[in-house]
Amino acid sequence: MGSSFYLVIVGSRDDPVYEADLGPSSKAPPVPEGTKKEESKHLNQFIIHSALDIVEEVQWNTTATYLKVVDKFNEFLISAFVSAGS
Amino acid sequence: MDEKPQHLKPLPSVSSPQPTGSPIPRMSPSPAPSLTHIAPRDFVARALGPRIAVIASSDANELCQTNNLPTFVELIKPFGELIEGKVSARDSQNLPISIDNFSVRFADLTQLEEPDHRAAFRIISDYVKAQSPDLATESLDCIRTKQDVSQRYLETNTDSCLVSLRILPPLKFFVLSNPANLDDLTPWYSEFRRLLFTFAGASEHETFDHPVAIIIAVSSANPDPINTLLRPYDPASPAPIFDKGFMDPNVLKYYVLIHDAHRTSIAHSETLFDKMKKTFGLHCHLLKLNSVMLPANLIRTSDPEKKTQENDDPFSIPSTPQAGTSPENDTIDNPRIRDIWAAQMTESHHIQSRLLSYAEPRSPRSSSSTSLSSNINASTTPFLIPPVPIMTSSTPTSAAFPSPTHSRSASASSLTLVSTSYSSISTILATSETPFQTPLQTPTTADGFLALHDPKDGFIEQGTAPRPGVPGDASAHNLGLGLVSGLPAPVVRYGQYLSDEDVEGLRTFVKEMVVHSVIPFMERNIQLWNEQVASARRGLTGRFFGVSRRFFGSGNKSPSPQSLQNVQAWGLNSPAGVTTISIYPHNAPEAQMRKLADYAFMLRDYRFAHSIYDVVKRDYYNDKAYKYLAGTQEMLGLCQLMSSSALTSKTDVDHSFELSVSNYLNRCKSPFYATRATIMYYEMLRHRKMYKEGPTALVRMTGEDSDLRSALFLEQAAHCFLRAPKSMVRKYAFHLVMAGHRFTKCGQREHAYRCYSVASRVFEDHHWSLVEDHIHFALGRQSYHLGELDAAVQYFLKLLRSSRQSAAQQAAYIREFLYIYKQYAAKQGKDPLIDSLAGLPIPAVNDATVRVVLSNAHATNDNEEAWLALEKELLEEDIEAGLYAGNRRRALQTLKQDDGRVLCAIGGLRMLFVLGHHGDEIEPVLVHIDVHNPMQVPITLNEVMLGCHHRISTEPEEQELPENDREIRMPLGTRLEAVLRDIQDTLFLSFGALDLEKVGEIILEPLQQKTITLRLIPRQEGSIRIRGLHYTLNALVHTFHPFHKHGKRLNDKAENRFNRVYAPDRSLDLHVTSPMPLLDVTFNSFPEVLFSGEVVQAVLEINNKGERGLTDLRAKMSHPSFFVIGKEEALGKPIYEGMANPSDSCHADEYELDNELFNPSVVPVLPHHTEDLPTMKQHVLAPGTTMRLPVWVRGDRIGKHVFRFLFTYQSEEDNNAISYRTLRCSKTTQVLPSLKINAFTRPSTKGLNEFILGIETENLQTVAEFELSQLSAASPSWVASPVTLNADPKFQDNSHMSVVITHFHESSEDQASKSTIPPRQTTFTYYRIRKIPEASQVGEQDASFDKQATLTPEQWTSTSLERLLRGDQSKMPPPPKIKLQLTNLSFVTLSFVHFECCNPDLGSMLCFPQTDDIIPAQSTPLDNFALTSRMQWRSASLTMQFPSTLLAKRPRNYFTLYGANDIDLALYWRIPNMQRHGHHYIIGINLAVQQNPFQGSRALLEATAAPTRAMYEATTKERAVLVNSLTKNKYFKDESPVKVMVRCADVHAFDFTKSGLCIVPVLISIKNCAWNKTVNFSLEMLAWNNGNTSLQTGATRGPHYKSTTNVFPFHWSGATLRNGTLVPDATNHITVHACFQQAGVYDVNRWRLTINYANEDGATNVGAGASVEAAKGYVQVPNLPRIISVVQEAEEVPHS
Repeated sequence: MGSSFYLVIVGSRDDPVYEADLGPSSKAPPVPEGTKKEESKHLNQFIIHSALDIVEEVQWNTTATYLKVVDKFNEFLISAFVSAGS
Repeated sequence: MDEKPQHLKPLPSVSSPQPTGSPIPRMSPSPAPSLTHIAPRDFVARALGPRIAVIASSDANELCQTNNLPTFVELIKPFGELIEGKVSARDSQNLPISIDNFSVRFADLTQLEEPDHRAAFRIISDYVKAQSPDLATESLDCIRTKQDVSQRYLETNTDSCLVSLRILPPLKFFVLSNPANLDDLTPWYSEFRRLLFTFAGASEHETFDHPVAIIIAVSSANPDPINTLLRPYDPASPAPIFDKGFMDPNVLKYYVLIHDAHRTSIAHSETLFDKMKKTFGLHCHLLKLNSVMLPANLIRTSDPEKKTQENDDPFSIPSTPQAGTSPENDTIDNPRIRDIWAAQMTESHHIQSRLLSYAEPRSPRSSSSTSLSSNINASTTPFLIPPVPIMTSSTPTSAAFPSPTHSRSASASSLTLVSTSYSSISTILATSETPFQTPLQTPTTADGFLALHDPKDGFIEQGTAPRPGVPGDASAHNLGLGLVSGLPAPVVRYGQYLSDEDVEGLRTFVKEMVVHSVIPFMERNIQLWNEQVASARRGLTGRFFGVSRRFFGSGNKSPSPQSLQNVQAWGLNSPAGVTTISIYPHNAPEAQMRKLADYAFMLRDYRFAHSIYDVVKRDYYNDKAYKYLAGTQEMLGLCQLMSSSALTSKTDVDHSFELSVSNYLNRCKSPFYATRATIMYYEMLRHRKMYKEGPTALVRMTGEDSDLRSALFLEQAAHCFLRAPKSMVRKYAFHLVMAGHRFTKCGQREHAYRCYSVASRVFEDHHWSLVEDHIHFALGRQSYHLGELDAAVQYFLKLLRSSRQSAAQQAAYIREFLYIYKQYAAKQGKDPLIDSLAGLPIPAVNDATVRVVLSNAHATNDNEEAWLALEKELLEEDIEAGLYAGNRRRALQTLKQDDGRVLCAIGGLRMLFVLGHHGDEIEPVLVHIDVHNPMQVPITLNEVMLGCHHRISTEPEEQELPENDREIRMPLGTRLEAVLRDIQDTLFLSFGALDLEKVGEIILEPLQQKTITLRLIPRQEGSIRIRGLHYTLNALVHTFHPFHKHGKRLNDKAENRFNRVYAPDRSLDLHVTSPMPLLDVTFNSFPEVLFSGEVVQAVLEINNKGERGLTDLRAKMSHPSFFVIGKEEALGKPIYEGMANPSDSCHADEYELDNELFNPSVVPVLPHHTEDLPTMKQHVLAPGTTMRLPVWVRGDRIGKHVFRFLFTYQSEEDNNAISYRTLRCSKTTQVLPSLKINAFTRPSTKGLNEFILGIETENLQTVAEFELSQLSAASPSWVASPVTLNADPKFQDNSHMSVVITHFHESSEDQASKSTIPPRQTTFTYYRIRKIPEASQVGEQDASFDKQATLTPEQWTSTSLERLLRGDQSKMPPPPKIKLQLTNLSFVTLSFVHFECCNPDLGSMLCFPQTDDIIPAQSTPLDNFALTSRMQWRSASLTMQFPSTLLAKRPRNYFTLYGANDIDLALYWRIPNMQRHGHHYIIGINLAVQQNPFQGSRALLEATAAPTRAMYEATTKERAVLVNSLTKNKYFKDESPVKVMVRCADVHAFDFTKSGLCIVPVLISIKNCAWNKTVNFSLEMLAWNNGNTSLQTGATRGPHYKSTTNVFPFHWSGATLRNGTLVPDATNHITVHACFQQAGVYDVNRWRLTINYANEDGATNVGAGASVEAAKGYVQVPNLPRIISVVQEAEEVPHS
């Protein structure tokens, strides 16, 4: 399935500032996979959004801005950067 | 009961405080929360409590049936739920433990089997569905953010996590009292949990559901009780459940004799009981029932249907207990007793019936019984279809509220019951593979289940004994009817013949049995097994034994009876494809170990149980008995959680549960047990408040196999997230959404809807667009399926927006929306084409840009601000000018009020007449609407029309805020009488007061932006409010989009600044007035591109399209210096063609001019309207007439310009509503650079107060060749002339003249080429500027006459400033007119002019043809251009000089257009080969001595600078700024007004040899150039040597020429110090003599002038300021050398 990434920059009020699907761009995905991706797009948002809870919890435990893998959902791994001002 | 003491003895530790004989006072098992709601720990303990099988004889059952209870099991079941008080048991160490809330579970021996789990899940699904979700949506919708999870919200749950184990009416009660309880938030889950455990059945891997004891009950009415008691449980022929081998048949048997007070006497029963005791030993009990005596009619028992018909008022029980029921009954305790069974009975019945109905369709596993079960299918399914209606009795409402759904056909349910009993047989038959061939056993044998054990047994006889009494088929249903008919209606009086004593007896019976028989039995077993098996196992030998057994046992195939056996799979729950399962026989040590542990667990000896489980786990693991293993792991975790000590490690527990669940799921394919394990785990987590671990456990069980379970678990997980130490709202929402998704998949729509809607609140307003889309879509669909079309439509409306969904997805959204909306409209009885749907988001209409444009206005979509500024300026100008009187003034007021409102006149009337000829002449009001399609699919708008509202009242004040236009209005009720008038293919609908255009179809492509223009024709006077836009989306959904446009943001008040307050917008409120003139303006041949300075004539076409005469047309221009609007006659006039000016060609023309500053941007357009004569009848442009006026456009500034013209005009008639109408018009022109002109002035050396003007002209063009044609200079007191030598007559020297002229002659050849400038070339031309002698004479006269009529401009300014400083408010007379001297100097004739000068005879001849070419600078367009340019420059420089003072704001009152010494130059050019011509202005050359414009007394300035007199801070500040700008202005530094010129002959020949010293007269002219100051001067002639020092001290510029000349010294002869006084403009000539000793070059410009303002004659200089001014003298020293060459005479002699 290849590794595709979904990047969101989330604002302080929980709203997405920027979203990007970072897939392995070199390989153009075949059509069925494209549609499959289409379906899971909202799932990505769900996952990210719910992972914020974990981020909220984890961010106080460390001084690093990179939080490694904070959450996972099925095969999705979520890692996060927290900006300095959080 | 007599035996009780006996039983008590061996068990002395019974600590029951309860006196067993007496009835317990308030002992209602119903809604006491402590009974019905059990903490999770208790729940688990209870669910895993000992199970007791029951076998009752048919007569015992029959006895129960008189109480409307089908079997004896049902009768005693409620009493096992909770044993009152503490019971005590002994643990493995023989220490007593006291157990609270002990419970046992009764089950019919025949129903010990596991039910079909799939069917069970389906039943659960039904139950879950029945739980109405609206409860939760109310209490949960507050959760949006973390903050919403308040302490209050949580604490209600954490401290009382109560479980409603059963019974729904109490649940209802409890829900109301404690709404935030987690179980009550999600009652469907507790229902699920409860039901799941009711479906417990005996499984091989654990013994919790194996009976601990068996109760054998017989009625006292039995003819042979002892035998009957013996028979059912015959160890030789055990019940089939024991055939499997895993269940231990050697269990406690407990014999019960039921005393039926109706049938037998108590004595009879006593004797029987004695007999029993003899036979069976201690485990006997006499149970007395039916103490309430049967009324005389015993028929009731056999005809219960009749009875139920009697009490057909089922729901009045709580309020009026048993109103209609038989009076002979005990009406008081009847409901209480009945409640013991009510819920359980109805439920168990329905569960059974459903279980059957769901189990049936499933194909049986064993092939041998396929035919049989299919038979059953055929026969039973007809009956099974009806009872699908939801169990209302199981909902909380059943007890409290009458519900219409209760009506259920008794016959149907009776049939189902029959089939229930039958099916229990059939399932057993089908699975047990006993070769019962029972096709003959028709469903009518209701008591077949009794025949199960032994069909030939006498039980049949007894069971069917009542049958003869009832004839025919009815008897077949008799039993069923007796119990079933009552079931649907809760009115059935369970236990109707039971007295309180009976109930108490039941309770005692159960308790005694438990305390005296069951627990001791279990304890004995525990001890036995512990010693025999477990201790052996624990030891080394035991392990060795286990290992060796495995090694050796593997060798021989036949397993020993003590070890694992492979058995054929049975039961309904074995996974597909598995034919054999491994079991341990009950006597195997592993099974006994397990049983030991389970017993210990049941007796709450958790630690002991744990150790046993731990031991036996290894065996199971080694034997790969995975189900056993999973069960053990489950129990291990559970033991840890249940034990009261703290957890050693959370992960251990979690790990064991995880292993257990995965084993159950993957190895055993038994999701039921996995679910059960998870639930128990979750319950215990809740008990320990470990909410954080909950989700992991729950989510583990959200596989694909059961959507319902997954959904429920996900929802629970979501709630766990809320209750976690840090509540995680987002996780909560996410899991809710997932739960909703799963609910959708399993068809639980209400639950799905609830989950989604609760979750949507978290996601609201966070712009997770895809998430929102998903949720809205799900919600829309769910609400549609739930019949909530309104909500569905609303949700779908939210989907219609710009999103990142694909086009296909959006198209689907639209399709579905349209479909739903159609249904919605149909349901609402609305016509979707007429009734509007509010809030349709597509297309997006930009309200802010909706604009109304009168048809005559040119469509301008550029910035409104600029136009408004223009309008405002115009208005202010008008007001300020104040030249309006009478109706004009009033008109102005109304104009001001109407600011922001659109005025339009009735446009329709003339249309009828004009219809024929001019189409566009009757154009109506246009409304431009910007719409945008945010979707990626095209949409069409149909029937697009404006929504307008007409008011009769024309007064604009009346409308403040439009009435709420949120209301969805029925849009077009007045659609009738549509006067179709086809104008340009569009349809106009008439609405009486106005006509509206309707556009049939507009297609908006994906993401397209479009401007819709709709027309409106007002027909009546009044006001028309444009409310919004009607359209029909995709020809299906009609909607009305109201325009919400707000005006400018208000910033005037502080609160307005903080909040966003907007002025109400009036631009959509049309004011319709009576017919008005309507101006239309077009520009013809307007230039697109201009050279800078170029002048082009365009034609302005003014057209009155209205119906009244048009008058007072004026134009306000944004770029006034670009335009001059001429008169009609001047059209086509060549402006640069000079007219013959025969008189004085090169001499100055003189003309008079208002010297007032004016606003050049407002220009009257119509001819004959002169400002001088306002009373004169103004020119009226008649309706329908057109006038063409010339407009000259001059490229005044380089760049691209947008010219805005604002035309205002009036009707010739007095219209009180509209005074002015305006018309906006804009044009764009680019101005290219042409010539770059620099001008500079130098003081002339030739004359005092004369200047040389140099003009540097650079051609910036690359192609065009410019030809300079003329220079015009206009000035009040200066004239320009070419650089000639005739200027100074006094010093005119013929010899010099000739030199210059020769020079001119040399250049006259290329003079023509000098006047043409090729591309990229620069030329210089020089002029001399002199003061006009006459003017100076006049000035002198004025000065001499002093303060007479005419003031100079400077004087005027000074006095007006003085007045301002004094605060004099009286009106200043306008500045006097000024005479301008205009000099036109033609380039071409330049040389000839000079000829004329030198050579009058020749010159006049030559000049004449050339004078035709003189461009008349004062002719119509040119003078205006000159004026406006001048004006612009002047105001610009004034605002620069006096920033932010009122001088800059109101310059007109204080400054004049021209100063006396200003000179404006105009340089005319043409490009011959391009037919272009133009001119540039050089404005603002001021040749006067620089002075402060305020020349009044300084004292006045200082006085006003002191703030003492100020009344207001603001005015003081303002004055300070003003004074500051006057006194310390960097633009005005006072210069010395005195100019000095030293003249002498350039070359002086002197023969030094002849006469020693050469004395040369040097004329020094001193002139006072100030217009108002008299000066005292003292002139000191400096010698050459001491000049150095003085210069060094005096000025910095001294060194730069001090040593250049004057090699030889010279001396002044005569007086070297002169004093004098100069009045303004006076000149003093002083002759001094220089004395040279030898020939050489000398600089005679050596002097020092000290100047003081004269104070004695200063009439204006009052004495106070004298000292200041006297100190402010000037010291002037020469700054240029004046070279004189003294030559030896001798050299010149030979020459001359």
